[in-house]
Amino acid sequence: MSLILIVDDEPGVLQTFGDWLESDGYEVATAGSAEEAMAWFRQTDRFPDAALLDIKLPGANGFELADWLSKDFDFSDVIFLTAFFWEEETRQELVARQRPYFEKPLKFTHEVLPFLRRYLAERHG
Amino acid sequence: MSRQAYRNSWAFFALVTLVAALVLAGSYFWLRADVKSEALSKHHRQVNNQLNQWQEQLYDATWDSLADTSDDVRHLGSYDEARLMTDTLAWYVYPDGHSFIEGMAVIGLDGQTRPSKQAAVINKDGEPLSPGRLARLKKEKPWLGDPWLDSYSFVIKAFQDDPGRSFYVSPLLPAPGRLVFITAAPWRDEAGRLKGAVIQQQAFDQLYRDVIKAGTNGVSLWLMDSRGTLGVATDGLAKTSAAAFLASGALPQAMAQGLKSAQEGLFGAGGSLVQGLGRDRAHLYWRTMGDHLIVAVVENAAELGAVGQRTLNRFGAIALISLLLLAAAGGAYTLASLRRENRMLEKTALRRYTGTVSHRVRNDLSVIRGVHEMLQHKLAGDKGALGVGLANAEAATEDIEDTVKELERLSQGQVELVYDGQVGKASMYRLHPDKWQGGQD
Repeated sequence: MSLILIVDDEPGVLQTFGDWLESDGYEVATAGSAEEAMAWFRQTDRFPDAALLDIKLPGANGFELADWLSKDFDFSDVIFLTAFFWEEETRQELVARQRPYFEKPLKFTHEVLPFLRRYLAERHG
Repeated sequence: MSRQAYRNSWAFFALVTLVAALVLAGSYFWLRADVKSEALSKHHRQVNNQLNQWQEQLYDATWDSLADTSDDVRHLGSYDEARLMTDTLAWYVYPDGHSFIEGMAVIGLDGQTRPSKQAAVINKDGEPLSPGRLARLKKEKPWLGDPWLDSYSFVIKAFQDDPGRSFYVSPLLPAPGRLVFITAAPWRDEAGRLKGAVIQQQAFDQLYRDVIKAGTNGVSLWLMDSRGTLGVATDGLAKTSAAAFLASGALPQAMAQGLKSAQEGLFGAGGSLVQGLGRDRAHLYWRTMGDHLIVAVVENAAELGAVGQRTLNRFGAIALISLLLLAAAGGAYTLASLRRENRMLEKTALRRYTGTVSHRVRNDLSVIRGVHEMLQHKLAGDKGALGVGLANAEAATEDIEDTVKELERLSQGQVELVYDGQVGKASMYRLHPDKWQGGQD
């Protein structure tokens, strides 16, 4: 069963997203901030198959968290979530990083879940 | 807008207005000094020119008279005395064209007019005036019937005292009803002994009217002889000034200067001074005719200060109106700027807030949409009320998403807020889809 980490400071989003993923057969872990996510990585004995990182987080943002994960844990299977795609700066950063992203509000049945299934299948055969 | 910014704007406006007021006030005072200086300078030139002209005319009149007496003395040897007088007097026709009033006479060593004296009342043809006209003239000129002084011994004495003297000009002398002055030339025999003199007597008032009066309109003028006898004072200021001049002891000095100037071939001396006349100050401009007469124009300093005042008053009024208009325009502009800046601040704050709102709403929509999609997923195929409600909720959610996107375009300046009037103190705005930030209407 694939493990997916969701990092978002909105409890409602975490809950809803988690419910959807679990209903689709995934194992889910959640964190409310970049620091919490780093702590989870340090203590886990299993890295997730994908980490969904909200960009706007309290403290370090989602981009910084992605950099930390890459540097400290050599982990790069990140997918960004953003409510700020309309911001030029955010959009440019997302394009530059060449990582998948979902724009909030998330469309679970038509966008998120089909993509995740495809993405994980490609990554892990 | 902060209270500080509000105060700064109005302080700037007050400062600009103050600077403008200072500039205008400075200009006004500078121009006032300049106009007054220029006007006074021009006025002084005019007064001096007029005085110079009068000085020359008085000089000419006196010397013409003296020349006549000298000519007559020369002719006395070949003319019958009475005939001489008649011929000569024909030249002295009174300005009315019919008579003369003063006249010439030959006086003896006793100072009395000789039988040849003219009664001073003949017409231009040398004939005695008709009794009727003479009577009318005597009514108008009470002294006409008796123009001669009782004695001219002072003339004889002057020539006797100074055997080399070739002419005599008297001071102003009181005659019945008038002041007169005498010009005279000595009549000597071949050995140089004084036999008498030829005199010409003129009413000073007549001389004044002929030579000066035409130029005295609105002028305070006085005329005085070397002894301080006041011949003419056109008004109260002139009388006061003449009395002050005499009392100050300036007359002998002026006459001494006049004599010196005459000896140097000039008409006389001249000058100006400031007189204190009670509480007023006056400017006095004077000229002498040799050392015989002094003519002066006096002007109140306060009235002189009024020279150019009308122009200045107009400038002052224009400057004041300009300042008021400037202040009004500046005030209106400041007020409009403050309101505009206030609206810009409001719009900027609103834009930033829309970004914040957008983030929150997008997260909330994620939850709502997640739940909604979950319900739709679990209730798939429900054609009942719940299914319709879910469809409506989806449409509403999409509408909210569109609204959020609109706010985001606003936040990014892709659409512009335009001012839509006031509701009380609140500024109202509406979206203007064709108005881009930094663009034009």
